Amino acid sequence: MRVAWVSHQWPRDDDATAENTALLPGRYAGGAELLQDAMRSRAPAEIEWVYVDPRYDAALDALKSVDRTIVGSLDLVSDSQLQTLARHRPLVWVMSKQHPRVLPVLEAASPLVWVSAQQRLWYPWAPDGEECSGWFDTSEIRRESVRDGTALWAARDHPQKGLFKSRLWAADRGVPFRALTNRPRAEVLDAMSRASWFVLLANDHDPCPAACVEAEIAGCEVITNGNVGRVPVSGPEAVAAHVESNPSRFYGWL
Amino acid sequence: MNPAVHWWSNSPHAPTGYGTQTKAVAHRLADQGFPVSIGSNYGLEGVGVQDVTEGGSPCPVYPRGYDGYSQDTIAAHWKDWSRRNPDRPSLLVTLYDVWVLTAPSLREVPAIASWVPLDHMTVPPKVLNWLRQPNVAPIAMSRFGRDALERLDVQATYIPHTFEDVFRPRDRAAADDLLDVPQDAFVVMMNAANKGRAPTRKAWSENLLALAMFLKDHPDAVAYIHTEPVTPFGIDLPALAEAAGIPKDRLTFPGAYPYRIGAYSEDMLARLYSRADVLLAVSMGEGFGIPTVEAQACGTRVIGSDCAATPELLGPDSWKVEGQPEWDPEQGAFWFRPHVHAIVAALREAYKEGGGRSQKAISHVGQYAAKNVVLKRWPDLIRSLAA
Repeated sequence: MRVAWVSHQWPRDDDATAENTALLPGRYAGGAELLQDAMRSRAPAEIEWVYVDPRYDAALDALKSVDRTIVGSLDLVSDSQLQTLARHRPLVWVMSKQHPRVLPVLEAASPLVWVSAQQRLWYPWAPDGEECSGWFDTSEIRRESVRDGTALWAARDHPQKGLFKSRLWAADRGVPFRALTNRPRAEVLDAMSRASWFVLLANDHDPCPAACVEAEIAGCEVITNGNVGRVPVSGPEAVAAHVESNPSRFYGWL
Repeated sequence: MNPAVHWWSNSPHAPTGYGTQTKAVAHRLADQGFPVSIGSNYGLEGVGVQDVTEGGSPCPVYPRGYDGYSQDTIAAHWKDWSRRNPDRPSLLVTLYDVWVLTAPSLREVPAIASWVPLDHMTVPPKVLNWLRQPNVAPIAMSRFGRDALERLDVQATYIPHTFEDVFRPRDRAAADDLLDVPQDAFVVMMNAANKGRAPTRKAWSENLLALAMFLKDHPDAVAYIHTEPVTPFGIDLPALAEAAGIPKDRLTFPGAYPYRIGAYSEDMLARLYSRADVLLAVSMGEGFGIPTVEAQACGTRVIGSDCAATPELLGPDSWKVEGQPEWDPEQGAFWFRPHVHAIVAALREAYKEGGGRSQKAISHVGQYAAKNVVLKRWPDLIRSLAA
């Protein structure tokens, strides 16, 4: 089964240092690159991927020779490409901020898959759909029974991620605060395994940040605001099971 | 190492609400070893940086800018102070209406804490937009403000305004040299800045109409309004009083010239509060309302609006006045318009109870004493937020 994946959000070829601390270190600039790559890594064996980057004018010609199309990002899809894409009735699973100009593709989606229920609400002009937060390896996440009483913030060094407001949350409660940015995942997971709270008070929409999901599995009480999407279940085991079940549901929609 | 703090507000020697709170916090922080400078938006003009000592360690005060709200100098003063303290993290604290903060250069300041007044029934959009900036930490000066922001999904902390120990009960006769009224007169006092015409946030027309009705029925009562009766940026209060029907011999103001030159000290104000039988502090909305706690600290009960910060400041034996929403098109939010009849009813209640010193009021406002608040909250918060 040949399946096209349409996106401009691809992993880097190597683990080169990020251009700046607003991007994640390693192969993924941000969560969208990570989640899409991770989901592809869990695809059934019979899928043969065709990678389509809409920044190239003729890129969508490749859709003529595939059985199905998945759209991971519409940000850089041109208006004429949107029409073409809609005709292919793709599975649409988008993480970035959406503009009404992409409505033809969202309406033609089969199905349209939101990353979280909160993300769905941010676009009242768009159709309803399914929900899938993505997959990542939950086996690497540890959970200590004794928590250290700190509030942890771990994210890209980007204004969207709300470091200052999160710091204020901790100060308001007299809780020690720890901020991690541009650090290896292992170090972040280690901090999550002991922190009492994970705080992400985003300044802009963040559909379902993986860090919040990881932190909940790691046993943190996760503090977010209305700008942050969450998985539909709660509790470490339930969240881990939900994440692990996502690939089978996702590919079931193909 | 303590962070360097640049505090933007009124000068600490300015006898205004912002000035007194600047004085209360800045010098205490300086005493604790924080390098603190003050950016004056009001109170210092046309001179260089001045060291000001107001009962504590000196703080350099930077003069106001040319812009009406000093937006041309606010970030520059912060930057200058940061450069003078190169090895320390820094924090810009604002204590003023935040809708005036429009300088684009403020986006470059990494850490700003805004001690913010929320004096409308709803949060004005310009205020909300500022508080949602990624580099801004809102500090609500009332629980009302903190809760209003919380409902709008804005993280904030709460630190109230405070009063100093000078505000304590005095002998009723201690104000005899300040207030020429009969010893047994029932004194209704107001203490509000005569500033603003549209709207007159201090609800002068409602208050003075209510006073007129009350005074008419209570011949042994008088009113004392601690303010400048006529100012170019306020209204003509004697004219309003005459129109409302208040006899000239039943209403007094402080001496205009002594008031203008700042001759009314906090000690004198405490004596005046102590002589008053009730403080009339009804308005269209208060971000905090310092006279409300100062008067109660002196044992004098207060009539205040059932709106914004005021209800939480009123002790159990003070009086809340009802009103109705009034749209403020400038701010895009609702003010509170107090009902005249409700003010009259509250004045009559106060008269019936006869004034006197209230221990309940004194106990209630203990939570706002500067000695109980400033050093317990500000140092740790500044260390947490500085960048």
